[in-house]
Amino acid sequence: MIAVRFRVLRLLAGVALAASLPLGAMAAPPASDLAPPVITVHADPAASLTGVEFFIPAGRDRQRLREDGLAALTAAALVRTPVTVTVAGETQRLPLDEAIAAHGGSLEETVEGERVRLYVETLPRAMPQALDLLHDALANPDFSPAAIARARAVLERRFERDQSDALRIGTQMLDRAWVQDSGAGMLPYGTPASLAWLDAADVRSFFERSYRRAGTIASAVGAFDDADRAALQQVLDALRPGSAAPVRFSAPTLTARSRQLIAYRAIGAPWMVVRYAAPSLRDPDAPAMFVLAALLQESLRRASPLPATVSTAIVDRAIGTIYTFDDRHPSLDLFVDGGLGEPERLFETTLTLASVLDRLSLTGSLDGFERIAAGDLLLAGDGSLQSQAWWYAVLASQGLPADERQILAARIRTVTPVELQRVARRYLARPILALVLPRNVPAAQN
Amino acid sequence: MTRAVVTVFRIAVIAGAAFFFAHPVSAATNGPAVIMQSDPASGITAIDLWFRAPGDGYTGDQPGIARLAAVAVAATPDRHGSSLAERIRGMGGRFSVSVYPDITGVQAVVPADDAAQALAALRAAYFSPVITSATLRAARRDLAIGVVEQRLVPELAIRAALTSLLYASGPAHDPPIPGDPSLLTGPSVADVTAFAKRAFRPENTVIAMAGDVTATATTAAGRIAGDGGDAPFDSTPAAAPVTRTVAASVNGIGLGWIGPPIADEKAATAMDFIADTLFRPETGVVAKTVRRMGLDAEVDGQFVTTHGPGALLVTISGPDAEKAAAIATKEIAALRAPMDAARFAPARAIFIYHVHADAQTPPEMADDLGWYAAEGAAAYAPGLPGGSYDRIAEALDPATVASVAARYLGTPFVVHLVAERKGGVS
Repeated sequence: MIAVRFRVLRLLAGVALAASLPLGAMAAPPASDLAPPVITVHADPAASLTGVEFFIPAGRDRQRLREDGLAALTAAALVRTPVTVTVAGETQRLPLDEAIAAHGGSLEETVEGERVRLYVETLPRAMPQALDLLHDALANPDFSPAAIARARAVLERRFERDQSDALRIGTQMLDRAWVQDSGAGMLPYGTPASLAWLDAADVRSFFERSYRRAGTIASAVGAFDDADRAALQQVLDALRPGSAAPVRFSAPTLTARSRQLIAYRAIGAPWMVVRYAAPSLRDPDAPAMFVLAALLQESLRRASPLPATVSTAIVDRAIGTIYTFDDRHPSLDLFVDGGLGEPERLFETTLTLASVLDRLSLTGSLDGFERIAAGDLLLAGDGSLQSQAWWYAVLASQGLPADERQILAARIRTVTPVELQRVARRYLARPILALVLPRNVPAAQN
Repeated sequence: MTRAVVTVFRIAVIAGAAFFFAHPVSAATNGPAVIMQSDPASGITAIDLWFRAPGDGYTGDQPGIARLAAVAVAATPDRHGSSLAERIRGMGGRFSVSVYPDITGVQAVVPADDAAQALAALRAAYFSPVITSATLRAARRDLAIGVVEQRLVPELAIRAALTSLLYASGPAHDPPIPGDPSLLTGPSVADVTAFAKRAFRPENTVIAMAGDVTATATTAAGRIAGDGGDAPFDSTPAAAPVTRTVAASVNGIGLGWIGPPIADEKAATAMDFIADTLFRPETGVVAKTVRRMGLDAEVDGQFVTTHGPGALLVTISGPDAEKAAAIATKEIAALRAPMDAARFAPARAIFIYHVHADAQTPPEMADDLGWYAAEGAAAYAPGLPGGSYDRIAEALDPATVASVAARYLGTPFVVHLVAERKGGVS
C-alpha cells in the first residue's frame, strides 16, 4: 500500500480536520423534536462500500447543568455494548464496534451540541448484519458499572488529547459562552471530574429520555439495497417512540461589544479564535457569508508573516475560517496560530479586518473569492462516503433539497459587493474572542 | 464510494509496467499515460501527475532536488503573473506535492467544472518547466518546512532513519527530504531546471484522475501513449539486518523488514494484510494490546509497495516504546505459523474493508492509481474495480500469510532514535 501520505495526515488530524472541512464540519443540525424519523437514501449499486449516518437528537443539549459529559458517556457505552456475533462459524460476544469491524466495517460515534451521530460503514454485503447488531445494542444497551467505567476511560483519553490542541480548546471555550441556556455548549467529553460524578443510573436515565425515534434522521449512501433498508427500519424501531421534552434555545445575549476568554495550556505558541454570529444554511444571507469567510481567510493569509508556500498544508492548519451553518446557533470562527510570528500584530490585523470590512470601499470583482468559496463548499469532506451521508442528513434536517449544495455553489457565484457588505455589517459587529496562551507565560508578553 | 465507470485510455508508457485495460487509444506518441476512474456524483475531480524520478537526483548526490523541482515549477508565475499553485487555489481547489525516493507526485483537487482548466494548467507547468531564482527560493522555504516536520514528527523521523538502514544504496537509502538543513543551499537554478526537464517530460508521466472526470476526458485523451519513460529507480537492500542507535530530535523505535517487489502481487498483498492486522492505529492487534496493557506508546506500520523490493516499516514512539516494540516483535513471530480460521476470517474482512475505505475519495483513488502505475503495476491498484488487488485479497488464506511471514519477516532491522540534549546524546 502507499498510505505514507495518508498516515501523515492522520497524525495531524486534530487541526487538519477543521482546516480541511471549513464549512460546518464541526456542528450539528436542528432536527425538530416532534418530527417523525426521516430516511434519506442516495444509493449507488456500483459503490464498493455502504454507509448510514444516524442523527439522533440526544446531544449535549439534553444534559442538565450538572451532567457535563453525560451525552458522550452514554454514546461511548452504547457503541461498546457486547453483542452476539458469529465469526467464521464461532459465536462470540464482542463490543458492538468490534463486532461490526469483524465483518468488514466500522462504527463511529460523535456527540455534538444537538445530536449524537452514529456512522456505520461496511462492505456492501455486511451492512444488514451491522445494522442488526446496532439494533441489538439499542434494544439492550450495556450500562453496567463496569461498562460505564470503560466508557469513562475512553472519554478521559479524548479529554487529555484535546488539552494540547489549541484550536479545539479555543472553540470549546467559545461554545460554552455562545450557548448560555442549555448544555449544547458544554465540553464534548465533560471533564475527568464531571465524568467521575456520573454513574450507570445517570446514563440509563439519559438514554431512556433521549434516544427517541422522533427527530431522528438516517442517511444512507453507497451500495444500499432493499435488505439494508429493512435492517435500517429495524434500527429505528429499536428507538423508543416519541421524543424527549423539547429543549428551548435562545440566541446568546452579549452584554458588551466584545468578550474575551483566556486559557493557559501547555502549548508552544498563542492562538486566537474569534467567533461571530452567522446565518443558517436556509438564510438568504448564507451565500454571502460563504464569500465573506473566503475573503477573510485569504486576506489573513496574505497578511500573515508566513512566506507564501506552494503546499498549503501548514497555512491551512494555522489560519482559517470555520463556518458552522448547521445548528441552531450558526457562527463563523476565525482562527490564527500566533506561532506564525508576531502574534500581536497578526491578531490585531485579524480583528481590524473583520471590523472594518463593512465600511471599506470594495471595488473590483469578487469573482476570485466566490470561486474559492464555492470550491471550499464542494470540496468539503473530499467526497468521502461519510461526508456525503452527513451532507444529505444535514440538508434533510433543514428541509432542503438533496442538490442544495450545488444550488448554493451557484448562488455563491452571484454575490455582489453590496450584498457582502450588508452581511458583514449584520454579522461581524459583536465578536467573542478566545485566546489560548502558553502556560507559564504572562499574558502581557503575548 | 462510487466507482461506476473505469476508463483507461492507455497506460503502456513506463517500461516494465504490467498494463491492463485497453480502452479508447489515441495514436499520438510521446505523451503521458492517462488513467481515469469516473464518479460523476462526486462533483469534484482529483488530478494527479506522477513521475519516475529519484528524490535525490539522477546522480544520487542532490538531496531534496525532486521536491525542489516539483514545488518551484508550481510557484513560477505564468505570462499572466499567477503561478500554478495560485491558479488551483483560485479555483477553490487544493494543490499538493508528494515526493518519495523513486517517484514524485503532484495533485490538484478542484470542482469538476474547473477540472479541464486545471489539467491544462498542470500540463503546461510541468511539461514545459520554468524555474527562476525567486521560485527556487520559495521551494527551499517549502522544503525547509518539510525538513522541520521530518525532524519533529516521530513517525517521519523514524521512517527516514529506518529506510536508510534497510537499503544499502539507491534513492531509498537517502530520504527524499534531506535531514540536514545545510543541504538546502545545494542545487542551483540550472541544476533544478535540468532535473525538472528530464523528470517531468510527458512520456515519463502518469496522469491519474478520479472523481467527476467527464469534463476532462476529452482533454486528457488528446495526447496519449508512447514509450520513452525512465526505467524504475530501484534501491538495493542491505545485506543483513542491523540494529543502530541514531541521535535525533525525537525519541522512537523503528522496526523494518525488506519485502517482495510489486511484481509478486500475492506476497505484497499478504504483507499489506500483515501490516493492517498488526499495526494499523486503532484496530491493529499491537495497538489494541498496547492500549489494553495501559502502555503509553503510538504504533503504526505499513508495507510500502515499490517496483523493487518493498519494505514493512513499523514506527513506535512514546514513553513505553520499548515494551510496545517487544509486543510487535512477538506478534510478527506468531504470524509465521498459520492463523486459526476463527481469527483469520475477521482479520481478512477488516483488511478488505480498510482497502476500500482508504481509497474511497477522488484524491485517494487518484493517488492509488498514479502510484501503482508509476511503480509498474497499474492494474494492481487497491480499490480498483476489476483490478487484481481485490481478487488476491479475497483469496488470502492463513497458509499464504504464514509462508510470506516466514520468508520475509525474520530478524528485523532496528533503529533507536535518541533525542539529543545539551552536552550530547542522552
